[in-house]
Amino acid sequence: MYDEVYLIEQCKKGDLNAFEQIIRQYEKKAYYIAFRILRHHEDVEDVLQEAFLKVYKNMNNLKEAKTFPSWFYRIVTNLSIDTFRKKKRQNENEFLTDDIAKSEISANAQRSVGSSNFTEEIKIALDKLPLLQKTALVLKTVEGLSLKEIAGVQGVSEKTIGWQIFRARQKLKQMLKRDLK
Amino acid sequence: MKECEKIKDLLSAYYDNCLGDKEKATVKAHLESCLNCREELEMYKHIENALILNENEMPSDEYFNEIRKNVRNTIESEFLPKKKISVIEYIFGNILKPVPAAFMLAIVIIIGMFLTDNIMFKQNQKEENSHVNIAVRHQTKKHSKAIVKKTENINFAKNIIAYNEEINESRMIKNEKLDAVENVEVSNSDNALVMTFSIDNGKIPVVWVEGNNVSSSKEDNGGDK
Repeated sequence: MYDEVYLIEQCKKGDLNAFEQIIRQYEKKAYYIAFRILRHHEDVEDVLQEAFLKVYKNMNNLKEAKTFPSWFYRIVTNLSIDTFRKKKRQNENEFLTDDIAKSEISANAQRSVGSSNFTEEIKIALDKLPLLQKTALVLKTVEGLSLKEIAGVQGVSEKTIGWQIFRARQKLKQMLKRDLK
Repeated sequence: MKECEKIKDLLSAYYDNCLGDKEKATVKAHLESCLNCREELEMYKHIENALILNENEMPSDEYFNEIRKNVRNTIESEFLPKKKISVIEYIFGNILKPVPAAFMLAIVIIIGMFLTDNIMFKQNQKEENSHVNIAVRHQTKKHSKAIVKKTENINFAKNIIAYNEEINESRMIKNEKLDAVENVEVSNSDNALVMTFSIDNGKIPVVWVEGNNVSSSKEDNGGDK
């Protein structure tokens, strides 16, 4: 296994194998971020392909190899958000209704051996959050990015990100209390 | 209760470890005495657990393999310089690509056998010609002291014993080209053909040849009668 910095340098020289090794390390996390936003495997697939191509094409713009993860997540997140908005505009009535989200989560729940109902309730509630709040929470919780990194991803201030995460948790708490009643 | 409202505003940042030391200490102290706020913090933990990557939610490896394959194909066709391919690469890579490997192998073997036979046939033919040239002259030995004219056709010797009188050595010439043939004559002996030629770039300048495999030709188109 090569060092990531070395792989990135090789990738900048056009080494396709090095590029694929990097992608392999991040593809599942990228999938997770995109899926939390889009909720459709097919849309996620399109976003990931586009994101990976963008990464390859713009790798030379990455000045410091250590910032690759946040740079990469920014690309995935922004493309996911763009796709989400585009889809929503195209098909307002069919896309991402609560029923679809619930049915998908329900299907996931059936596949997830040992997952608690409460966990599934949280996932359903998460899909009801405003997009930027949900994204900020996912990046913070799942990817462990700092507020500064998430701010870089979303192009807003750290303070705004902190507020979004706070509001996301408050809303989740309210929704879960209401649903559990 | 008022303090709880204040603490709850800080809980999210506390959970994310984004508070300064003073605020952190305040929240920590409050949590030790407030069950309600501890439950809220516990809720954050549940939310995190619900969000953390669950392998069961992940699609199969084929899903990611397909994505990587599509990305690679796009990069190779759109971003990388196109590789120049030879005619052979084109034929095997494009035209004959769908042909099953076993069938391709059979074709290669057949072509190989054909070429080998052809080369062997030409080689044999060439050797046969040389052989005939010598044999003809051999047959002329029936006529005493028949002199075979110097001929450039005698330029190849195979499986004959050559004897060099000067250095008193004999050697087997298995398959050699003769450098120069200066004189060829038939000896009086029934079994011998005397030739004067050089091989090895003149290192063996005078050679007496006894050839027992130069007698098979039926032709007789050389020498005096």
